[in-house]
Amino acid sequence: MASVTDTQGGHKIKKRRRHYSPAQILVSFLKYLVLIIGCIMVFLPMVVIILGAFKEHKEFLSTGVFELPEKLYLGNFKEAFYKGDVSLGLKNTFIILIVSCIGTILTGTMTAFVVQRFDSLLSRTVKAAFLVATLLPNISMQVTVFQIVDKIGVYDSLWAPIILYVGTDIISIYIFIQFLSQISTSLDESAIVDGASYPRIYFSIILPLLRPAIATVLIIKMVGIYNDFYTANLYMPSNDLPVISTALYRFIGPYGAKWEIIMAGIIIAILPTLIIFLCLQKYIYSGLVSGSVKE
Amino acid sequence: MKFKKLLATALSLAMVATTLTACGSDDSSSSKAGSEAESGTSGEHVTLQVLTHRTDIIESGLLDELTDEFEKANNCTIEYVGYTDYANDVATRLSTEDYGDVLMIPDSVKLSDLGNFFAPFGSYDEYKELYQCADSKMFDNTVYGLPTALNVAGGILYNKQVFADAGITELPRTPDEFIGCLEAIRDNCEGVIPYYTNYKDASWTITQWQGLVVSASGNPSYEIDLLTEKGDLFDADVNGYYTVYKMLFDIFSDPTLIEADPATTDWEACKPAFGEGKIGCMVLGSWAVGQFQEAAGDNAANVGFMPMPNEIDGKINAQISADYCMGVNKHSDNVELAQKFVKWYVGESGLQVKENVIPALIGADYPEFMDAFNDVNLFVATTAPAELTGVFNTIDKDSEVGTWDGDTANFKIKLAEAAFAGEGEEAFNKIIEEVNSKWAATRDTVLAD
Amino acid sequence: MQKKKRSFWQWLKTYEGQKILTTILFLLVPVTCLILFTVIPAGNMVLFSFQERDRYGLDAKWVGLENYKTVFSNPDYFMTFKNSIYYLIGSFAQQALALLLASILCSKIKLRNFFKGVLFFPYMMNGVAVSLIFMRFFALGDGIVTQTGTVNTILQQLGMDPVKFLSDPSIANYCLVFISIWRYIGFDIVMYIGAIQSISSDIYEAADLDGANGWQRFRYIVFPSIKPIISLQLILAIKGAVSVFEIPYIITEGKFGTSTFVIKTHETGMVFQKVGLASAMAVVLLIIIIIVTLIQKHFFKESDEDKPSKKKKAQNGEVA
Repeated sequence: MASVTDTQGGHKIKKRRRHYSPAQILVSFLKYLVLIIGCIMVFLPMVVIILGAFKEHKEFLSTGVFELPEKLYLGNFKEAFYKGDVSLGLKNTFIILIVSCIGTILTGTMTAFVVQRFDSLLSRTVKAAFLVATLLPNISMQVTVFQIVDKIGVYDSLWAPIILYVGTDIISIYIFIQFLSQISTSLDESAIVDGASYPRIYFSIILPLLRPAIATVLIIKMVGIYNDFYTANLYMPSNDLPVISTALYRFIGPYGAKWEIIMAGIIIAILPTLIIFLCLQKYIYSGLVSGSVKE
Repeated sequence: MKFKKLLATALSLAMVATTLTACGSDDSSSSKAGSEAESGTSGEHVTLQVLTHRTDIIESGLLDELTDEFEKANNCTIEYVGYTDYANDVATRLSTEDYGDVLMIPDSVKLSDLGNFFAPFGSYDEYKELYQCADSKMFDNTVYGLPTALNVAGGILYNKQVFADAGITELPRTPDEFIGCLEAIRDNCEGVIPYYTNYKDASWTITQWQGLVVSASGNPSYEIDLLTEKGDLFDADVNGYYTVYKMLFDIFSDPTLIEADPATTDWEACKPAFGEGKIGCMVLGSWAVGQFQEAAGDNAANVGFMPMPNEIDGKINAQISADYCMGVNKHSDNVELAQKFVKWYVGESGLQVKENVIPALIGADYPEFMDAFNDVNLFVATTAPAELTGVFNTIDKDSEVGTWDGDTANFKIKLAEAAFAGEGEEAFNKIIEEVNSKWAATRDTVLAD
Repeated sequence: MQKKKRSFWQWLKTYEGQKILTTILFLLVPVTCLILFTVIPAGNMVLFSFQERDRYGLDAKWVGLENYKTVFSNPDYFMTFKNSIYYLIGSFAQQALALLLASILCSKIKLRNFFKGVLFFPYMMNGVAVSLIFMRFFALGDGIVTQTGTVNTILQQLGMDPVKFLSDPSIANYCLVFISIWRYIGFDIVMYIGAIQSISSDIYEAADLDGANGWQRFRYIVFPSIKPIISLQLILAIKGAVSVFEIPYIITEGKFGTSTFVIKTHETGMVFQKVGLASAMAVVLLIIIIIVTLIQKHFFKESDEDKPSKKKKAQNGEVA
């Protein structure tokens, strides 16, 4: 600490400019160094992918991995998008995303409304059941869930992941219950005084109030579904039913000899995430944090 | 207010999405519904649904082209449904009654369960006169499926040009001679991988070695003898398991004979590379010959196929076995026509000739590449006696030895990885002893029952 | 009769009736789903774990504790838990690194959002894409059939021998753990930043007056305040470590000693169709995770009484 004052005394700068000691400079140099190394670690694996995706097959084989492509060749993207089923994968993924997000929000908020606002034996039992269910890890039950999905006849259709994403999403219900418990019941009560019915209260008071929680759930849900490989791989094995993850996974076989096309596929798959991330950065951070703390 | 609007849009979106998905799923099921509706009115034009693993020849149009003839002659429509992961997907459909009219019989169905799923063709005595390996899907002397083709169960794909460049003039006749060939390739051919393991896809590529086992034994009743004589599975003094997997271990143990990194191999890339003479050998069934010839293009003539090099009493042996067998759903409304189709597919469709595979129909011509097998003793494994039917498979499954499997705990994977790590003879003996004891214990309990 | 009916409709219009009707209507779908996809599977799983059965369930046999015996006595099964240790140690390192990066990002730094965004983005990326990227990253081609990957190209340019990253059992697991850290660290960083930023600035000012240095500030202010988050993260790490699946499944398929318990369960149940044995494995995993979760709940109850309760009180005060 003493050295700090020493050096400050040494340089006599009269203006109110900030003044740094060598120690502070070293610390902030180290800080930037760590951050830059971190960023290089993130970028390094991806640079090769980005460079490779723009090379023609012959060029790809003959040039080094860090060499820039001769020109911006887009043929790989075309082939990955149309022949490699990435377009179909994106379409299916978005259908699943939209339907299951809406489904989750409706069932989740409805359950939370009943469980949190009504105090009956039934609602208490249901709440307890859901709380216990949060303990069960999905992944370990797949063997038996599989047989049920098979029996109800949705195996190998888009309905299988949709039903599973909606029907097994206990975390969202939990988040909604938590959130609702922090909202005062005074609004409901005044609505009852005005003679509003319960469904009306739900639609015109509770749902709007839950908007922040809905945003949180939506973000967690969308990241989860878009990146999920396990469910689609297991429940939609048909070739004509890819989602983005399985479409990419199936690239390994037939395109194994053409990595430049796989690379283009990777970029196409990541692009929507990147765009959404850049637009909604703040909400994504806060959504994920509040979601996981409540979990 | 604003939120209501949002909700309204959300709901309408949901509706749109629902109808979209409904349409999507309709697409795939419509054909099914159609076939059921039509097949109900028998005597008229019917549609048969055929489940197959051959997505490649569905896509190329070859199947449809060949099937025209049958459709016209029988006033019917054949609808092929292809699955990439056939065994798994069909196993799932088998748990319902709707698994098409004709299908390739997956090996997961036990022989004793065949009657629960498939319509019988007839007695073995009748069919053995017509087709080779007619006993592949048979129970109680009743045949439930016919082989779509035959395979030389296991063999070695080799590049003739590479062998010539390495100065090899005669094909090897023992495992040691084979390894000698690989060494000659290593020493004489720059930029050629003597043996390509395809280990990245080990879950199936490693199982190709199992195809060599009965050939190496030279004994058609090898697997039955293992049960009746109660010998060890791996016995250094008996030709068979030991011979084949010792050869695997020795090759995989020498990093100069295989590719640089067995975790970085590429099945699709190895096909053209093989044609270009960048690879010396690979253990594969005869089914692969056609695929490699096609990928080789102008160099197709360089694709050679040899039997397991294990000379016994001056003779090389090779086992012939059935590819997928085709059976008929016993719940089908048109069992008779479906069986007629199976016989057509197996015997008259011309597919076997087009694909250069060995036909099951007795009297049909063998493909050209089999000329190399003129001096080889070709044999078909003996049918197990009634009391031992399926016993080998039961022991195999219960003991978790998994002779045909390539799971991460399988002995083949353990052997290969011990070899890659250079762990030597000791590790080999330890692994086979473990398998032997697992096998013996289960065999004794199963046979005692 | 009619009278009764009318009174029933009237009763429905009362809040009491509405309550029951709404309860039933609103809970119909979620509870059906809960029963169908959670209660029945969980029940079946326990039931099946005492049976020997295949996928068709044709001739299921009761075998008592046989399946559990297999799981614990056959090294092929329980040894896959050994690999969890790699992931566990990896995630401890990941937490430390995340904490470091989060503290740096909370200090005065230019381009803070850029750095935060870059470090976080891998978390958002598709897992299959990540696996493919790293297959390329660690590959060691032979230059004949396959191409050499990024790291080995760098090593070769530096004049060093290439390394078999994915086929050397002594390295492969570390590579997979590295990928897992690469992918998930962004999330931890964001969590820690959130926690650090929630510390009131008064405390910092007081510390500044006392002349505390950076380390002291971290040791005595930051660390105690974010302890609950750290314990939550560590417990999530344990849960994650025992249920690793996607990355090794795609990159090595569990070969070269990289199999995990979930890969093994998947293989047993879905590929070999030993539904009974796979169920027993799932039950074992379930028990482990429940224990860890209970520990987590326990910890959180303690910390709940510590801090957030104050927040709640403050909120209530505001309302009043």
